[in-house]
Amino acid sequence: MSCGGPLSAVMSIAGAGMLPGAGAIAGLGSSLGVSSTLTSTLGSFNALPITGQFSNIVSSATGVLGGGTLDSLRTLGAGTFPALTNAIPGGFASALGPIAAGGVFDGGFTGLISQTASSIMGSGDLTQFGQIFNSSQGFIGQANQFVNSGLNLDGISATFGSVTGGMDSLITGGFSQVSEAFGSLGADLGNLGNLIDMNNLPNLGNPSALVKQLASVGGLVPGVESALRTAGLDSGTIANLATGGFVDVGDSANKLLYDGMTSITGTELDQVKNVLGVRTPGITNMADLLNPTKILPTSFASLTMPTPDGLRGIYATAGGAVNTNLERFLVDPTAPAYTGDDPIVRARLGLAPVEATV
Amino acid sequence: MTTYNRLKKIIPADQALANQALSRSLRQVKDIFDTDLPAVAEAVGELESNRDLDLINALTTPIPAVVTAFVGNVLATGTGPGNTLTTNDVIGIAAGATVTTEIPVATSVIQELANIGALDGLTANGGTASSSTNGVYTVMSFCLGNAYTIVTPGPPDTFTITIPSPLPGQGTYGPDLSFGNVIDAAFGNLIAAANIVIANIATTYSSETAQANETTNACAEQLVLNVTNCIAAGIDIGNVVNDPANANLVANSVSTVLGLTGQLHDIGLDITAGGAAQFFENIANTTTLSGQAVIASMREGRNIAVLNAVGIVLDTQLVDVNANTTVANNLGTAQYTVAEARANIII
Repeated sequence: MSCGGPLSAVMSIAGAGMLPGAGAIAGLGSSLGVSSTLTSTLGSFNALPITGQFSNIVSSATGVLGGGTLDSLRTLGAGTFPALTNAIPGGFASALGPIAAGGVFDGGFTGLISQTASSIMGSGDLTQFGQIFNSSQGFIGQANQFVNSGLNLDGISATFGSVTGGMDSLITGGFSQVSEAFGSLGADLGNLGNLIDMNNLPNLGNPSALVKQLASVGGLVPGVESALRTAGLDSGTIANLATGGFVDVGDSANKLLYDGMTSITGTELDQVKNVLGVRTPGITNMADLLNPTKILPTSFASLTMPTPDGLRGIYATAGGAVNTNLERFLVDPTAPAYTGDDPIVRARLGLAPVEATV
Repeated sequence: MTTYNRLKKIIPADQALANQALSRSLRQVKDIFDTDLPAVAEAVGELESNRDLDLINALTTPIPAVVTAFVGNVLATGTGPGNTLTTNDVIGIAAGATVTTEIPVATSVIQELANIGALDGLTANGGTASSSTNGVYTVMSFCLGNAYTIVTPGPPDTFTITIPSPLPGQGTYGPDLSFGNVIDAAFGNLIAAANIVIANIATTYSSETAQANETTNACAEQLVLNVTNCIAAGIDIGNVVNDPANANLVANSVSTVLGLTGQLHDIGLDITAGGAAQFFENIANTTTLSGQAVIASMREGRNIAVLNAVGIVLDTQLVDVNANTTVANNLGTAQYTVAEARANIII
């Protein structure tokens, strides 16, 4: 976009040719005008003997014949073979009324085309053409926004509705499905540093995933490594976790790992928080970093989840009692299809299809 | 992926449920996998909802049918993809849109019909006003040239027009004190005769007629499209064409030209069929330096785009160092507090 910058050399020349009086400047000339191809095309038609003959008749009749008779002459053949009289084709008289009242025009149909073209080009004043062009482009841009909105409606509709939170979800990119207390949620998330790996959300709450994230961000601290050994993990698995890889360590080992995290407090916990950048108050042991009520202390009560019935609160009470009604959507394989995982929606969101929850 | 059934064996069940639910919610956010937590936190903190906009929140479809229908009625259908509007749809007639491809067909058809004598009933000229081979147009011409007019001196003078047999419109019109009355009467019959001749031509040469009519109709449709869209765009097309002095345009507006000149690069980028580049290519006066410069400017714009794509920036592309970055202070907040959000939640 050149707006704000200088004009290039050729743009300067082109623009000079649009200024008033440019046409009379030798070596510059007017830069724009009615299409020369249009002019020659209409000229060829007008040069047909029959066209010229009838044009002369109309010209001679003007001022001689009465208005009604003259109009009948100028619309002669309009409904059958208008090219034989250069009449405005029948059926278009009304629509062309704004530029050819009564369906007639001095100079006939080709005259109307020529005059309209010339007028759009400013009738020699290219500054007027500029105004018309700018108006047209503004209109086109705005009109096409409407048209394209209609074209995109099917895709938008797939993500719209009570299930996903309606227009709020549309204008927030889906964040309103998480919470509508954006200020508080943003502040809570801002205190979490790099605690959550956004590319590993399916494993949110998994102790191994937390260890993986810790290792990815800054490395394991001694207390965590000790907890891993206490959980019975072999050296290879620990080494893999230590380099930031995610390993499914098994439920039993993972449980032992979680239990170990509950014992990581004090200085060791501070090390973990420092590595992750967590500044959230009230974290008393590493396992708290897996508890939404602890890591989102001011906003957890506002959290919601999309269900086939609509958005539902994750917590039943402001005190932190979880909404057990949600369990059926997470564990029951016969539950209605999870609308939030609709392939159309997910495709629009650029997400891979969600795996089975059980 | 860690399932809820597994996770609740690892961490407390309530936390497992909350984590799984939160995970699902977060994964509904577009492209969240490509972000990081600090960036998400910053963005979320500044988001706004439709709080207090009851009509918006009550919508059951993104765009109500009444809106779609109304817009469809107001806006003309365009010829671009998905009925979008193009430059040609609004002002294309100046660039010869449709006309330069269609009218030559009509020209050719009429020339061919003339060559085989099919139009003689209209155009034939026997050389004199009374020649029996004269076509209707020829008789009209002679009539307007007063070849059939007899003026009987008065006072008052009276006028009579006598078109001899077997010419079209044959008969005597008048006498009458008004020449206008008698020539109107004569032309009434001549026009009727011409209509018959034209109808016979259309019947006898139906395929040629259809071909020619198709082309003129296409041109008329192009004109109608332009007229309709110009009106919708607020362009006073009626006065633009018939009474430019009263059109809503400013004469000799130099600032308009300056703005338009600065757009030439962008205009050149619109290379779609019926788009701005095609339009300017057709209206550029290629016989003048400035006209060729218009085309060169559009090519320059396309070159800039190509070069920018590979990281090459031209000297003419300067940063706007005077950009206004001051944020207005009267934009109200539209965020809910936790308590308010909580009040809206269904359990």
